[in-house]
Amino acid sequence: MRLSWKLGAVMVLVVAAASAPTATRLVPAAVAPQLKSIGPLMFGPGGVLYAADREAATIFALDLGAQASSGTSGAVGVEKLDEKIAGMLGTTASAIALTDLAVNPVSHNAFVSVMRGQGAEAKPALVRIDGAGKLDLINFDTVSFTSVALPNPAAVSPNGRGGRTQSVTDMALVDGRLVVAGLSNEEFASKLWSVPYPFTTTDRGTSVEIYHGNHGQFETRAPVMTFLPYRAANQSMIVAAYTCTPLVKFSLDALKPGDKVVGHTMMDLGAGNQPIDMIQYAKGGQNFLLMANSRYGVIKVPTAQFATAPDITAKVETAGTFEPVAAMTGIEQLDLLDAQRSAAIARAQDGSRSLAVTALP
Amino acid sequence: MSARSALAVLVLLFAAACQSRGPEAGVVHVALDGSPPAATVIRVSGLSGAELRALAAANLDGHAWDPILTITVAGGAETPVTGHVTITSTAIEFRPAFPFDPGRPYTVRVNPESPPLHRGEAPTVVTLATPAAGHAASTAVTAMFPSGDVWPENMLRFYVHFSAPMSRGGGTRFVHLLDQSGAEIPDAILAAFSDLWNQDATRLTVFLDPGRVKRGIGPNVKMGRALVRGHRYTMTIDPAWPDAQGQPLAAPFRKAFTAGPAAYAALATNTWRLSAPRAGTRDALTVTFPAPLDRALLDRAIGVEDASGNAVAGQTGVRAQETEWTFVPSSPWRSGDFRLVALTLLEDPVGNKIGRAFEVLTDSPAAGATNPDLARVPFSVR
Repeated sequence: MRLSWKLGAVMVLVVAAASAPTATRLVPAAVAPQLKSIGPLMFGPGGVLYAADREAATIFALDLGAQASSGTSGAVGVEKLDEKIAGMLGTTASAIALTDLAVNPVSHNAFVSVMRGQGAEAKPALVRIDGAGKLDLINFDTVSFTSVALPNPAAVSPNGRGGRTQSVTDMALVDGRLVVAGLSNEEFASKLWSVPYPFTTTDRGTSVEIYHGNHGQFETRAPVMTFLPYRAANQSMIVAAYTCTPLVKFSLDALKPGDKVVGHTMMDLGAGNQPIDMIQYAKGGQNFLLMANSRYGVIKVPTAQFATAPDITAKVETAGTFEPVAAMTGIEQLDLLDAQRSAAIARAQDGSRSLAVTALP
Repeated sequence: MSARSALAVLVLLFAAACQSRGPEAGVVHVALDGSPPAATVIRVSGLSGAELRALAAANLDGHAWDPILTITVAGGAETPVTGHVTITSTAIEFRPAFPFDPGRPYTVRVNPESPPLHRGEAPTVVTLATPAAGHAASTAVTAMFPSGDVWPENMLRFYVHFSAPMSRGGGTRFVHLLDQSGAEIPDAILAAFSDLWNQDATRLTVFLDPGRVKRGIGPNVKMGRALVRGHRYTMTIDPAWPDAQGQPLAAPFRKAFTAGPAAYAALATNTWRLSAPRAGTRDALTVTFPAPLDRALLDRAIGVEDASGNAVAGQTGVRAQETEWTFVPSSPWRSGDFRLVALTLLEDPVGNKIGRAFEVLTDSPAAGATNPDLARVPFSVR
């Protein structure tokens, strides 16, 4: 998943108040988007589905219409989801890749983005899983959309700009702007790009460069793997996991285009550990962050510590409070299904992928 | 039968049917028409005009067709293939949402007992396949950059080039870093970004885990860098890596190198040597760097402009293990002043940029400095 819109009442209220434009209406809308690829997904509060097209370096905002909710409400676990989706698409599991999962905040149906086939022949697909476990392929012919292209960095040579692509690792809505993190396959850029939503033709967005303030010693560029908006002490924050492991926070208040932002380490997840995805939820009057990562599987992190967490300044392997969640293993994509449960794409021992529905820990 | 000829036959049949009451009920027959990349059609014939009209009147959609007609991947999931069903005057036609895979068998099940057909017949089950494409393993690794045999011990990024498009996703699991005893070094490669392909999937960007490369953060403190100065290594590419046709590579690939000193300095254009060409010739301008730069960025981050700031057209090249950049103008050089223009995002394979090192001391002036987007190096042609 790429966003929990249920970020707790405070966050939702802030987004709603600051961003009246963040509605379901697409202005100006066209019909039948032609996606070249489909990667990270994220639902906005009104049910707009944001889908990143890496091949076209474009973010699409999709209004699925009746297809968003025409199934049975909710979503249930599905064993061997990859094989079943592959069957729908007329092929086998080895010929598809499940690229993300997002839960519609209104119907609570799960949506899985898929690439079918390989190389230049690969085609995007979007599959809905409903509360009866029924799978349906979304027909893009009736979907309304708007889109915005990612900024294309300058090239001074006329010969060689064909090799650059931009992967999108995560997206979120922050105060009426769509914030996108990614990584180029060439320069080690670490920019967060934000663009107002609804998209306009005049405002192509702005970028800030994200650095990692490393234990008070070095600053380095640090691409963001996954992030969440977070509201603390009346400040708009981003809690992010860098590719180089640490969980950091930084403020997005009063940012200007071209600003440099230094994220400070709140928690070091340990050697050889890669962040994968994260969501935020409330339980028992407390807020938590649930993060899938390569070493611990899934960890549960109380977020109350974020507001007051001092920067880690000592060379320590791990810091901060978190606990592994043993019930969740092999998690590759994660989203909040409802207030009590998570939905995830999980890899089983036999290599197959399932849709796993698990009570929030 | 090609899709086009099938269409022609259909039009004729439709014209004939319009003059009659439609076909009489017969034996249910299933056939596959068309060949990729044209849309492939599964056609169910042998139904009477009345049966086809009843189906049309039922106005079935999506899963409502499942009791009557399902297509599944033979030996695969039982989930029916999604597609669009149309009813002509002679047949039911099914077009899959995605073209059928060449050579893959599909099972078609037609149940004439199901409403609204109500025939007292057992289902017809047929397995069909389009012709196989007949690919062989022929894709090979053509290059790995940096191409030199000494890599800085704080190496961040390298490129693997292939002779043909590769399968996407999960590529880094076929890339292995071996120590001098041939044992794999664990957690060296950043697996989180395994899909950093160029547009046509012939070049993969691979990162060594930045957490181990950057000094002083958890993974670096705990595990150290994957590369240690003076040690010998081999980067191997597993030939099981499937290309875009699903075929393995034609051969394994190995690149041996030695880890050299870490590179910590920002790139500085005043360390570049320019060999200025002579006026009236199309001789190459050659720029020599003190150490190898990033192979991909060299293709787009450097250009030439004239004294007025207009871009000079020409062809760029990279040689000498990425320590030389060349520029051959489209027209002969004019006598006068020119400038080499470089985007400051140009990096070495360690991530040091023009004017800013990858790692900057937090309390140093460089940390707060604003780096311009462009650097210029003047040269004259006489």
